[in-house]
Amino acid sequence: MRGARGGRLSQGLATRDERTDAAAHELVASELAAAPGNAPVRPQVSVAIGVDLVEIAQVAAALETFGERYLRRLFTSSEIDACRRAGGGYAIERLATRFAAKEAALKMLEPAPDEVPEWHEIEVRSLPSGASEIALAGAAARLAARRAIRSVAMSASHEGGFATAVAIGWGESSCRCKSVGLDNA
Amino acid sequence: MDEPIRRILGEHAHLQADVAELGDDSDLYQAGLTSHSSVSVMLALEDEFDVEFPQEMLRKKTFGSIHAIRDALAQLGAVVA
Repeated sequence: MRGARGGRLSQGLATRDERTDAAAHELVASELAAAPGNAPVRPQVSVAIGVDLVEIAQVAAALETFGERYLRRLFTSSEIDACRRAGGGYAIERLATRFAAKEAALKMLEPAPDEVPEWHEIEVRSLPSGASEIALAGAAARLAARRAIRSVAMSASHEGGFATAVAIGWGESSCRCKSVGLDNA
Repeated sequence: MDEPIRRILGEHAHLQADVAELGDDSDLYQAGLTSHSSVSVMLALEDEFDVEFPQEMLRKKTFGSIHAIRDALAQLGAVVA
């Protein structure tokens, strides 16, 4: 497929990851504090996934109708710059894959109806290699921390008038569990 | 009057269903509204009614039905006769 982008593991969620990590540590600490004192601590792996599909023509139509207001509402300045064509205008398929990636990340985070992050809090960053990564901030980072998601990988592509993206988040927290089953094996 | 809302849905929502046949409480997402087309609907509503949807209203349920859209516009002070 044209325009394929390899997935890349973001190294801890970039510059905003420290906040994500700190929140995750606080979460784990509170869980441990609430757990029975003599229960063994075990790693617990969290994995979450989201996917989205966007019709590129709809992105083109929205940009033509609403112009800069459409761009500024959905995308950060960095994302907009990454989608500019050298000769002027925008690479619509790049905008479409970024929107799909934001939506995929949103699905991965599974926000409650009253805690939906802003579009700008899920940013798709272009890397020199041609791959992209997702950086989370604000409410998006807090949701990730709550779900013990410490790293996010994404992959996006476009073909035949559609753009698609997948976001996978994972992390490890600790839990204290009562000794049952395999503990005695 | 829901005419402007229905017109905007017809122009920007890319629904699979005929807007004229949708009921007041018909589920627009079931009718084909997507996350991206809901953004276009939101921007068109802002232009039509001279309002701006704040972040806390940018939820799926805000655009879930004609009834929900009308309520959201009323909450924003838009005049919907």
